[in-house]
Amino acid sequence: MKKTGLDGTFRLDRFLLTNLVPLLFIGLSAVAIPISQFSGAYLVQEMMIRLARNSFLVLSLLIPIIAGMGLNFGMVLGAMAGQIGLILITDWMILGLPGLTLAALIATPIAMVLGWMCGAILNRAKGREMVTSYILGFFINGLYQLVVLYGFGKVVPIKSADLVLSRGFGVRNAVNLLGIRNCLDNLIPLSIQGIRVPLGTFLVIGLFCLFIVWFRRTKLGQDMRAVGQDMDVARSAGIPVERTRIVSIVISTVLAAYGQIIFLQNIGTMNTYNSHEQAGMFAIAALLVGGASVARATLPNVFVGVILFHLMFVVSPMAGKYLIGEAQLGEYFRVFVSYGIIAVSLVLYEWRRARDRAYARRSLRGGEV
Amino acid sequence: MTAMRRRRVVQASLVLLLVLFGFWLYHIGKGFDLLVDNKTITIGDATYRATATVRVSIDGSEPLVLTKRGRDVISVVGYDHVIRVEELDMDDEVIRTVEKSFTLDRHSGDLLSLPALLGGEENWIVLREP
Repeated sequence: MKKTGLDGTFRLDRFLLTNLVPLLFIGLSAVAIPISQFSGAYLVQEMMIRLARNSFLVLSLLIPIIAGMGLNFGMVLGAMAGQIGLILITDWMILGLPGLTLAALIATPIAMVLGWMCGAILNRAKGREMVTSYILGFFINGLYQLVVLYGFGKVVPIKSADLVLSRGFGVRNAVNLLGIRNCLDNLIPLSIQGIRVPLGTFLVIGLFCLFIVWFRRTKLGQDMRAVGQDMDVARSAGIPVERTRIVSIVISTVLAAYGQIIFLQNIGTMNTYNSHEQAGMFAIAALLVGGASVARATLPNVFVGVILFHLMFVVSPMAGKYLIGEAQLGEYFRVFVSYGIIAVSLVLYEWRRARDRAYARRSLRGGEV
Repeated sequence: MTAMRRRRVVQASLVLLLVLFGFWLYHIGKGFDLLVDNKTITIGDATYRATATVRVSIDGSEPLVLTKRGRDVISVVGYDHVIRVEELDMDDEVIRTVEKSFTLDRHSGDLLSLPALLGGEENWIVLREP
């Protein structure tokens, strides 16, 4: 984060501008927490659960950012692949951790194909990756609905009466994931001062963080960084730019599939036709709340973002209820916040970029900076 | 063997390994919902009368008490299991205990007839008519 001027001195205005979104959320939380009247223990427990539930999904966004492809709204493609894996293991009645792992195994090739397709399309829409991947998400959602609503039970055999619609094909709106519910969270039971810690999921998230740290140092990671900084320079240096970009999207899509599986094992129920829709939006909003931008995101951004964003999610309905007697207003507020924060971050990013360019131009001319 | 060919062989082996891993996961994680039934049943020519009260557990799970004509569901994971059935008298004292190992597969039934099991019937796991 740029907190200093060119001469290396700390500049408060730059610091405030760089961290405007997290600071805004910290301020909002500081006001909303006392009003909501939630106890500290309750909030800590909630944050613990939500960190375990959402972090993996948010982490899956980091690699395309390194490759300069912005926020991967196409991660919903991976979420859909994860859900297909979950539907199949539920039908086959594969329970517990083997079920969860098998769902991930089934989701992997589907996510790889979808990710490759997404990456190839994004290579044809350079500079407009975010909006393209966002619309691509809608397109693939249509295909997913077609497959799940008509293909499952007709082309893909589904035997479980609990899953199939009464007409004989198509998957029901809600899928009960009781067989795998919390199987990863409760893998290593741990409770500290009455607060349940989902240690199994945290270990997986920790391994993923180590993977990202390691990945950045690999040849591929360095290539991605070079591509993210300047595609033309990277191409001149012999880096296969298009291939590197596709690989980054494939990795992100596969990881998003795993993230959605972890998310849904924590929830315990899957909304067949809607669960994936909000996955991308909320993960991206959380990352931006953590202080990330379209071009730069770090591991601390992920965790700070998940905590701040979900803290707001938890306290805002109650704060709304105590403040004006309407819990529903708090609900509206949190949806408004998640969309609003993405808009504010994108505007701030563009504005900051334009300002930095002007700043650099002035400094090159030897003017006062 | 050229480098490309070697690479293809390694990739194919990895895919094969993952497929095998998937089958293994299917095998160890496969769950069954078993109907544990204490109703009078006729298998072939033999009729097995329902027992007054029984206590049942599979693989040391939480025991289930079934009265005459009672039926409940027990969920199990995997193919090989051990069922323990205790026949109880009026004072809930154990009269007789039967312990039996059984193996499930895709074609075996899901109805465990306790009267048939206690009566020594070989086909005490019944495939229900759809």
